[in-house]
Amino acid sequence: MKQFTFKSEGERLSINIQFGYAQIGSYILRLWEAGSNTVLMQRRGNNQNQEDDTYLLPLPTKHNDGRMIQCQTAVVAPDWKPGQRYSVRLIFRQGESEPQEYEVSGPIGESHAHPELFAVLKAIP
Amino acid sequence: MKRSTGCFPVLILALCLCFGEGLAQPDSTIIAHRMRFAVPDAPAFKLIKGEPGAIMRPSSTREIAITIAEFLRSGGTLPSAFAAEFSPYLVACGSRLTLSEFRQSAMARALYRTRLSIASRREETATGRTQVSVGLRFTLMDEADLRLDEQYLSTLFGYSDSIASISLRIKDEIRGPRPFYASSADSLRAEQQIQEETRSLASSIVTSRERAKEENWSKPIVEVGLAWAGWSDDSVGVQGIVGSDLAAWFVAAGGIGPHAQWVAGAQLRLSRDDLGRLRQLEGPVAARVYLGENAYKLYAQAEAEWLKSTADRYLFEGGGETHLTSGIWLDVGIGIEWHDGTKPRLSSKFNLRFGTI
Repeated sequence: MKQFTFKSEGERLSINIQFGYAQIGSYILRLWEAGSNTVLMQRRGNNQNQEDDTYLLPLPTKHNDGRMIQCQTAVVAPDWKPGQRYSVRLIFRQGESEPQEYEVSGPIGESHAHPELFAVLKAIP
Repeated sequence: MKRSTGCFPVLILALCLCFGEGLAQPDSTIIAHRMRFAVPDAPAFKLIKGEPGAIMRPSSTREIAITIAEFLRSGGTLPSAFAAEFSPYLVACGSRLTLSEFRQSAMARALYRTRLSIASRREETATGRTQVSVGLRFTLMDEADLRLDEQYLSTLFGYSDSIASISLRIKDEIRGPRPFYASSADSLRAEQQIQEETRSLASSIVTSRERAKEENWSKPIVEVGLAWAGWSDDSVGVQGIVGSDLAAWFVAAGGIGPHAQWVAGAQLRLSRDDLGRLRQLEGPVAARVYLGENAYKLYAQAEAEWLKSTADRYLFEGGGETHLTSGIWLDVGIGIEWHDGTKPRLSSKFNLRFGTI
């Protein structure tokens, strides 16, 4: 599973969702408590509007250690042809630190693709 | 492209197949698939093939498109001509190009639609000379691009939101905790309902797309192409490449009613004269009308070419294209061609095009 690392005493964390290849994308983002069935946060959206699909993770930052991000997506190609691809990217940020990215990509079917992304958050000293 | 009278049986058979299968596909219309209508026609390939060159068909951008031709010329073994066209921007940056960037930035759209083509063609003569070419294609206008149709996009966003919800619901039920069902029959019914919803959404997306293409296909598209060609005495250019031709194309297309498309084009070509100087300027103009359905269509074309090296040339050609299977097209044609002061002669062509990876 993809791991995003952060400084436990650093700035607030954020997660951003992007869809490439100029495709349409919708998502449901969840933040799961570490080792638990509790969903701490759930957001849904798509890339239709001008919002940048960035979400701040809960404070205090250090409590995010071990928490898991789940991002269920659906991608539709407006002008589908055989061989077209999709890409979904999670961009994890902490202040001015170098962003960390997790991308999944692949061929898109005639109707849609619905990739799901998981990433675990890991605090570093 | 091979122009000879030797492939008539194949040509006639292929045309018969086109008609036969076309009748078996009543639901497919040319307007429903307009973007796939235009099989890639790379400028680099167009220049070195030596075929009537005014029509460079406009097409939508793909990551890569490949054409292999002249099987007959090489005795049906290996093709003697090969071309590839790709969008460098799409290959290098496509995974980072968001829909809003594409819609808002004219520069992003221009880069996305700029395609680079390369081609080579081996001559049959004892010299073993190989022609090579590099081309660029720019789309100046493409109002038929579905990503610019806001109403259509809004519809698709509704579907993609629903698919994301259903996908998550399915996974929640698989992973648990499962929802409570009074009986196994209830559980089965719930599963069937989810499957039906997914199928219905998938079908609605395809239908919406076809409807959008139907509404947009006749909007104008304008492209220009540039290509440079040269030849080398060996197949890889180790002994150097000598430039032989420069060419530019202009092509425009639009719709005529629900089942036809017009394409008009002009080419300007600079080639070497008898003294080997790159000073001979000439070029054809042509108009072509396509009629039929996307996967099986016929065309008629008239072309005139004013030549400095020889007498002017005229061509009337008819043919067809058929979509054999995903991304693979068969392109056949037959025509009458003549130069001023000479007897008309019959010509034919037979090509396979690989439209996508």
